[in-house]
Amino acid sequence: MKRKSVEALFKSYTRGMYNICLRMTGNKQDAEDVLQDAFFQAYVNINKLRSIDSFGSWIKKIVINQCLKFLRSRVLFIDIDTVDQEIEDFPEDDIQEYPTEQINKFIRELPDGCRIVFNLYLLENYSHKEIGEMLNISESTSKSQYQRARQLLQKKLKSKQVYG
Amino acid sequence: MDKFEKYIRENRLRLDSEEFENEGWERISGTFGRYNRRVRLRRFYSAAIFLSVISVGMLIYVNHLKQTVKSLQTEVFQEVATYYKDQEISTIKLINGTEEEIRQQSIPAEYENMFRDFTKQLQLIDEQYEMYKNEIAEHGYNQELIQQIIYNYQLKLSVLQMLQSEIDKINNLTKNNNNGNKKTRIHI
Repeated sequence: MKRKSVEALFKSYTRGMYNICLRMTGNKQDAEDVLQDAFFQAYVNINKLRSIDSFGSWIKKIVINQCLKFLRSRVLFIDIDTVDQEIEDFPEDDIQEYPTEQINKFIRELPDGCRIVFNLYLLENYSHKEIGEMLNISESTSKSQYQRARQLLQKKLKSKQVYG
Repeated sequence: MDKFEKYIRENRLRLDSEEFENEGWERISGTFGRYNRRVRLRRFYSAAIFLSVISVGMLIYVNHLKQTVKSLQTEVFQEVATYYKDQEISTIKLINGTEEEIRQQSIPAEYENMFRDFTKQLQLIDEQYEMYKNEIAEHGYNQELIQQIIYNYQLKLSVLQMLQSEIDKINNLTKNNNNGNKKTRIHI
């Protein structure tokens, strides 16, 4: 593959990968730095990519790993045994269009630990077992962090009357 | 999966709403460019180092070949010299013996001029021999030089034998007319 084609391929994934970085790190500057490092890593190792069809999942994996590398030293994961209260289900009547910018903002405002687990589980489709292995935490910690994130997020959405 | 999770997952792509600024892409693209330049430079240096190693290897190999050929040559010529050594010794003995024999003889003085060509020719042969010796001292033996020296010995021996033959002829001729003529020796 020619250099320009490779760059064009990377560029086409920039927005999606940047948004992952943004949700994972919680701020734009860190997201840009992490994305740049991740893309550089991917570019250097492009010859390891077996098929162009798997580029999307390949680059996503590299980006997430780079995010975790960046966050690992900064985030302390603690096991949250007690969830403050039962998580309310999403009110059925309120299934409608929500301003995604608002949801993104609230996700970014979540505390580091639960934000990372929330992103990995709900948006990147990793299981709690996989997340536990990736973050070197127990599966139950991953679950409790996720529940915490859900609780906080729904609270924020409710308080802003985004729904309910 | 509850409704909240379902909603988020179904709208996953819509959540990628933040634009990535072009400046950010320029920075990323810049790192690609720098990396490409580094790779090209590394390839260039690798090629240069590879070529240098090959060149040095070739030089060492060629030098080794030269040394091998030189040592082989030396051995061959030593063998050649050894082979011709016996010939040389016997020829020199023959030359020395013939020369000594000629020096002991005398001829009528009136025939002395007849032998000047012989003595001159012998001088030239000796001069040539000295030149060959100098060449050996400077450059060592080679096949051609050995051949020339052998030819030089043979030539000298032939001239001496011709000279001896002429002396014999003259002495035979003058033997019966020996009327107290002055005798001389041939200086070779």
